[in-house]
Amino acid sequence: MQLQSPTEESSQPLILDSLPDLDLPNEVCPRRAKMQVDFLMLAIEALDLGGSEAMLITARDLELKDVVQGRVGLWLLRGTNPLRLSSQRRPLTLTEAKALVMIICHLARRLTVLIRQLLLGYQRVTEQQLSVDHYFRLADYLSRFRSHFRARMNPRRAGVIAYSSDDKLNELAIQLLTQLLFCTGTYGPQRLWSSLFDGDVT
Amino acid sequence: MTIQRQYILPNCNLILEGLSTAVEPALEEVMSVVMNAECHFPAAKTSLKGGREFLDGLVSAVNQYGQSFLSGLPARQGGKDHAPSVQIKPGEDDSHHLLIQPQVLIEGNEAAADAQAPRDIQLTTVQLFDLLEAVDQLVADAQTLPDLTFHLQPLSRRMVKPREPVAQRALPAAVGVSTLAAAAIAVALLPVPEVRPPEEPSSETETSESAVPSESANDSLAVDPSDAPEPTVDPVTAAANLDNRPATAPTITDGETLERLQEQLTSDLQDAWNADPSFDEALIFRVGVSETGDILGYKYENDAALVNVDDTPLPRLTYIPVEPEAVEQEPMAQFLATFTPEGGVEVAPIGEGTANTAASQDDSESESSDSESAPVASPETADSDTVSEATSAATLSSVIDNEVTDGDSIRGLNQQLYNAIAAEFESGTYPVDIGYRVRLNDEGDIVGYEPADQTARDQVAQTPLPGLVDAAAEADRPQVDFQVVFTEDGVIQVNPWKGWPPN
Repeated sequence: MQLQSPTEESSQPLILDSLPDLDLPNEVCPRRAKMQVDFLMLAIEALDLGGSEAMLITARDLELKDVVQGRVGLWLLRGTNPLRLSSQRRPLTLTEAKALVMIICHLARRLTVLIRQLLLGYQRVTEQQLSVDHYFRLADYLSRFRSHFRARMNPRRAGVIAYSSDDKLNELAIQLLTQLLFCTGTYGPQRLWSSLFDGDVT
Repeated sequence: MTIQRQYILPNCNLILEGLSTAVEPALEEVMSVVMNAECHFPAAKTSLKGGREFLDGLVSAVNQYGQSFLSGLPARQGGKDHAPSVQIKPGEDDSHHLLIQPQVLIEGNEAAADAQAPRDIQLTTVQLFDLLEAVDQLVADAQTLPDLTFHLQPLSRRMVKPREPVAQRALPAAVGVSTLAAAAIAVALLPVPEVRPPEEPSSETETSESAVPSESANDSLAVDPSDAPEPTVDPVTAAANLDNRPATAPTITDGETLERLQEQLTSDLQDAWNADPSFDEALIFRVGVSETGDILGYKYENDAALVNVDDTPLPRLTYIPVEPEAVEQEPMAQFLATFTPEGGVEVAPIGEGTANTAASQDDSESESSDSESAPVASPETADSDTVSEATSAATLSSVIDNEVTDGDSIRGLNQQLYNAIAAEFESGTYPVDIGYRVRLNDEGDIVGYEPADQTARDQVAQTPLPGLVDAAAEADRPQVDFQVVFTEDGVIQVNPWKGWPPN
């Protein structure tokens, strides 16, 4: 039988009520949303060595365990990113996406200090027209992001080919870092949630 | 009594002065009217002062820009007669411009000589975020201006303006076109009739099988399917729609469109199929889909599919063209749809699907039962769609004809395989150690894998292996087997199947 998300019947966890339901065809996430959510999580893992462990703990703390069922469950949800090597070809439901958004914002908030440091450092090196290698912590984040990205994305997909050079991947990593900064705010989860569907609602 | 509220962030201080108009003592602390709003940027040594209009403009500008920033999709400006009082526009590199119309500002002594030009303050991303956060804290504060709110909602399709010049947007499409052209050539080289058993009559002479003259297709539109055993579009017409397309007929090549169509087709088929399958072999169809998601035609890819076509929703869903000629010119994408006896529907793009067929053909010389018992991997787990990619790869031939023997290559591949598995799955726990035989070709692509025992079979969905199998791996390259064990305590062990080669 087709795998049914266990949350479809039961009511969704309370914390997800802070994100509004949207009027989308099929009640599933568009392609860009699935990619964006996974990429932001990839950036979190590049920031925090224990990032993937922290995601599971956060899922438990936020009482999202019914939606994100353990390591494998999380891996399956992230596998909905169509660019992944292990892309799952299954839809990402709105409830599942909400849970991932809450986890991302929760972790981003915990990493606020580091995110701000890295962005200020990035600003400094660009002002002085130096390469990112001059700021060790930033170079470290970027190289970790690049290796995560290359290990997990399918190099045969056009969407991944676009990021074949180090520079392009660095650009993406910085963009995700600034987006994570915006996730740390008071209305971070709501803003991220609603931005995921920009251009996909009628 | 004046009330003051401050929202202090490292790069932006927002200070409000206002009054409470409430008469009840309980609400006296609530600021309901703002007299002065001051926004101070310590780094830029600039401050802006204004009234409610300034504040409203700030809230809406920050809100809109923040969302565009997160999605990377700028909102379409214009359509209004006059520019909004506060605007934020992206600058070069990492900067943003906060533009404020002078009318909404209460200027100090340095009152601008040029009163018409908007004030322009350049902010870095971190400064911009602090401004946004100050505004958010103000909006979230129930004690200050409770009527000040914003409504976060996604931009609609027409509100989004394309973010890149056409040439740049066309590039991925161009890459897609060329890869698809290459794939199309590859597909064209694989003669479809040879995939079927030789006794299979060709599609033109199939009329006896379905015995429905193609004209009846148009009449049966209004007929209740329960009264009419004939499909709405019989297999012959449907197949003809696929096969009689002129070589010049356009093909859908855009990766994103294909992805969308694939999702749509999957859900259409799932919705329309009241899954109570009476067959016990997977049915495989080649399905052509138009850009709008209409099914233009389909063709069986195995015998079971032909016999059981009426059990599937395909005949009912197939679009009946008013002008068949127009359909021939319509862009089309082709997919392989598989209906499993368990009631699942899987849809794969035709490129990979064809490669799959070729791969299993190759393997079948030693295990000819493979292709007949297609559901070999499906019953193991409930979530059959997650392991769908494994279906063709779950059994390996016991002998490799062309084996990699070079010691250095084997050591290299061993490391490569370990890295690939480790990258997808850092650690995990299993009830017991589970082992797999995994076959790689000399380029390091995973051709297939085989569980060592029933436990390993049951646990396969818990490993990254199904996702790592490369459907496009070239089956005729030299291959070699490895033993992969996921231990109880979450360690991954990878060793050459025949032991380590001597140095």
